[in-house]
Amino acid sequence: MKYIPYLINVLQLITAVIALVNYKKYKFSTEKYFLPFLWIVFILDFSCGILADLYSFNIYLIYNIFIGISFIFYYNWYYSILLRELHKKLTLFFAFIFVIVIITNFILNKNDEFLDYSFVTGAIFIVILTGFYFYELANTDSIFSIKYKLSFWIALAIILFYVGMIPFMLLSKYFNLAFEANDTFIIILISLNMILYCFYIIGFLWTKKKYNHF
Amino acid sequence: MDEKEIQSFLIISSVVLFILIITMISLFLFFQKRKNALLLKNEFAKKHFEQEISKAKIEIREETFRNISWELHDNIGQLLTLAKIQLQNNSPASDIKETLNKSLKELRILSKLINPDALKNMSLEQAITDEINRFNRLNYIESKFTIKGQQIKIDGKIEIVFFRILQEFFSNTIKHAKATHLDILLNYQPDMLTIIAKDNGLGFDLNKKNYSGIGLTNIKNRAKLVNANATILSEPNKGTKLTITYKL
Repeated sequence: MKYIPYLINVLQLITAVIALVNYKKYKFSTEKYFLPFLWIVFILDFSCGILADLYSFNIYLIYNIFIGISFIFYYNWYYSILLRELHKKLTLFFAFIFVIVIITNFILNKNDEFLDYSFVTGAIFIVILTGFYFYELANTDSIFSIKYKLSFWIALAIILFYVGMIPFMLLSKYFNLAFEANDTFIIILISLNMILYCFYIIGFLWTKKKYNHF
Repeated sequence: MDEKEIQSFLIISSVVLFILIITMISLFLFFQKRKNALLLKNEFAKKHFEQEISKAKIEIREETFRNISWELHDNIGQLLTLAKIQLQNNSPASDIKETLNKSLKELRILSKLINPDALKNMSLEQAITDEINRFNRLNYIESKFTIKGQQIKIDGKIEIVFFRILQEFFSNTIKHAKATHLDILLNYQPDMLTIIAKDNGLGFDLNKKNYSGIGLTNIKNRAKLVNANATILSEPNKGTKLTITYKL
């Protein structure tokens, strides 16, 4: 059971490699930033896991900082792909609120636990922004070719992952469970990660260059 | 893992699974519904486009009939009347012959112009040239037609719309503007076609409401229909200028 969490790292590595191989298809779009992002996620997650396993290293500080950065990365991506002015403004507003929440969370926290409230806040915003993006997508002719659009698959992966993560985090808090220390609960986490990376992989494999212009 | 943990694990996993399934189903339904709605909308737009083209065709035909009627009355009719007067006045036979020859010539031109086959396959340039020739022949207005750049073939349906717009402009010029000159320019650039029609007539104040009725909105809507842009500039006593720009 001890090595089960490394399954996630394997998934991350496969996704990052597939993203690298298919880079040509989306190098002119805003999705190109997902390539370094996925590699950083893999390297960081993998090294943190090893450090924690071998030296009982306190990884929460790094994890929490990384969660903050990845949410900001997502917000930035949505800011660049959303077209309507109102949606763009709301993205900025959400990012601003999130930064305030995570900073407050950092100050109040002793850096020895996971910043779950910040995570849930950030995740709710992500779900809303994905909703905006889907709404915009559904109102253009791109709807006839969404399966070839990388941004659609990435947004789908993100929304399914976070829509599952929100109740998972809230309920484990509610039942007072330390999910990160319990192998059984890791299964849910791994399943959600599988959904996330599987949709990423489908997107990278299926996307066609001419549909990824912006 | 104690019983309580198992219980909470089951609850959490079923809630997560449930929410995931709901999200997936609603996303699928949402996209499916939007896709169908958009398909329907495109279908409707296509139908509307076809209807507008037919309408423009009918209007062109009506205008042509009106022009024939004018031409028969004002041109050939006048010439034949002249021949009759010449006959009554015992004018020299050569004069009468000349008048009759002239009327025959006009009749031939007219008959060639209204041949349905000729009308059907006419290009925009040919249609404008015929119209301009008619104006000059009947001395309605002194007209000039210029083509600039390398001619590029555009869709016949779009040509019909452009011609109808121009025809509407000409008819306004003749009926209302009291102009003496009419200039038409077709400018083919590599990525753009610009059509400019200009008269030196009375013009009108664009800001005054009662001028919006004379087909200006119609011209703009028609242009929009084929993704072109029509602008009309006019000033009292300085004439009117219509510009159509179309991306090739």
